Amino acid sequence: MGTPAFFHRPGANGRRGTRSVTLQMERQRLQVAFLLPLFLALLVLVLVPMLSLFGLSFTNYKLNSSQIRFTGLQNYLDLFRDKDFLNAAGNTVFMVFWSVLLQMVLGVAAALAIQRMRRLRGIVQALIVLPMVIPPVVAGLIWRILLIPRYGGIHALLSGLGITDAPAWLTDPVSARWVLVLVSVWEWLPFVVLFILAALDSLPISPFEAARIDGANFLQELFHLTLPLIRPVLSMVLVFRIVEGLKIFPLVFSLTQGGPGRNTEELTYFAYSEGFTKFRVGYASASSMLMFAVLLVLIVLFYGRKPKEKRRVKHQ
Amino acid sequence: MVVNKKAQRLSALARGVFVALLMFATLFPFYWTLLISLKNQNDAFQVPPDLIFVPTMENYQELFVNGDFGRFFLNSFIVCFFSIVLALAVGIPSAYIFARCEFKFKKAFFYILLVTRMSPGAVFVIPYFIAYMKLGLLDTYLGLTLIYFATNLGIIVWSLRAFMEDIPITLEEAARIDGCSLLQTMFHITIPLAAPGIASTAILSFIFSWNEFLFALLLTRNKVQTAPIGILNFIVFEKMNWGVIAAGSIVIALPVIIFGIAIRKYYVKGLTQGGLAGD
Repeated sequence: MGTPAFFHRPGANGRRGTRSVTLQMERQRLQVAFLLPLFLALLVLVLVPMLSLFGLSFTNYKLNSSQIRFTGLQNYLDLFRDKDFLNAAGNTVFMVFWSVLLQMVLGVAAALAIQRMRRLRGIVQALIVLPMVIPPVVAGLIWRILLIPRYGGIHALLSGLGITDAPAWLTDPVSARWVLVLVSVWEWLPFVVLFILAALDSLPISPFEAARIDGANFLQELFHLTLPLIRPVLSMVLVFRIVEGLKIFPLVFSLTQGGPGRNTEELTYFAYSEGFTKFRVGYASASSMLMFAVLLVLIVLFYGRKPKEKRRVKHQ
Repeated sequence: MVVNKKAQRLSALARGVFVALLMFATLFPFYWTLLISLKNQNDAFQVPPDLIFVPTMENYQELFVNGDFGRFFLNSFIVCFFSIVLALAVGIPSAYIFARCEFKFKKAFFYILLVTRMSPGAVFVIPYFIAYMKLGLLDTYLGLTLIYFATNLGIIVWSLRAFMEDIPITLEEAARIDGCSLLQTMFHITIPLAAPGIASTAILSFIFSWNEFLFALLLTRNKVQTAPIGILNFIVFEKMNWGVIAAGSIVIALPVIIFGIAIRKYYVKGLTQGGLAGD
């Protein structure tokens, strides 16, 4: 406490005697007044709930009973023996992995193609945002309408191409999972495209001219020049997509409700059905805590090594 | 050279086809949904689908007249609007301090904001549900507004800080020399100059809140149900009327599509600044 507050600029402090002392006091008072609401909001609305979730995960709390008992690590031990939880974790990994992989590969390809467009680029860039700005639950409903067997738009398209033996998309265990992967690719590919396009647009021209003079072909240019240059953006988008990929719940809820069987149940759906249909809140809290832990690890991995990377880039 | 030109033209063609396919895959679902929403039950499920039909508004009528969809729509607007106004009121001053001052725990603050922004809803929804149950805040405007306010703070403070840092500090110093207090400087110099950034950030938060699903599903019942939850009523309680569901999807998507296209250039900037510039 009591550390004087300075502007970033060196020498902004301590000029002109008394005036600057009052200025500093003014600045400090303003700081406290301006940050206090944020501090209180974060404390009450973010930190306390997070800590309560942590606390609840060590109890047997149920919504339909007033008894609550501390059970230590029991919930966590049970989770790792719970087939449904392991299934949900596996499904989450499956869906996030394939969805993010496809988004990244297609995203880079699409961004490269769009960047080289001479005409219509503005329109493409405007319309491509559509899937990612609509509510995920609406994306799910739209695709449910498209995938109605025999009458849906996808059936119409496929039979136009002569394919008539398509699976029952949402009721077949294998295809249901892939439908979720593909719909989430449809939904979030634009995000990857926009970020990579912005990165490509900001690249300097001279290395590319040099490469072309040296006779580099497209693939050499891509792997030795373009991708390394946009690596920071690629890794940021990757982390973002993984983190956001964990939020696939609305899509699952509107498309498959976790089914058929439990083939598309993912972690949030698991927590939802444990906590809000079986009322086992303590247990659901533990599963949410595990999901949260994964997120924290990702954030630390990404933001924790940030400064080092920055330094390395500077020294080069 | 001739071969080279040919190869170039060929790769341009391949690129064109690829982008065309991509755009088709992106837009076809919207086109189809729009068609279904404008067809009556009989036309909607013709095999093969009719391309020429008499468009009807009966699905939209059903949605708003019998389905009472206007109420869900209004709920969405109310909750989004108030949560963003609140988040801006708290977020703008804090972003200013973040942009211009060094203070203790600045980093800790920032990490908490980051975690807030990135956490899956599953982390918050259980404690909020229990607290709201005890406080009687389930299915109230206040309850939903509060949690949207909290989850919006992250993005608002993160990107507004970046916008305010871009404003040259010399302008503020000039105002100070002219005798403005810090408060006056902020209101007369920084906020007006950051206005475009503030507007786009507010729109971005609006999109996030409008689209939110998990909190709205579990923390509301009937009274405060928002549009993305309200539309599910047509699946659960009534016979599958896909025309009405299609109409509802279009209606819910329309405001965010307009906003999304309007701020598409900012989308990357707003998220990147917060994401990459965080020290």
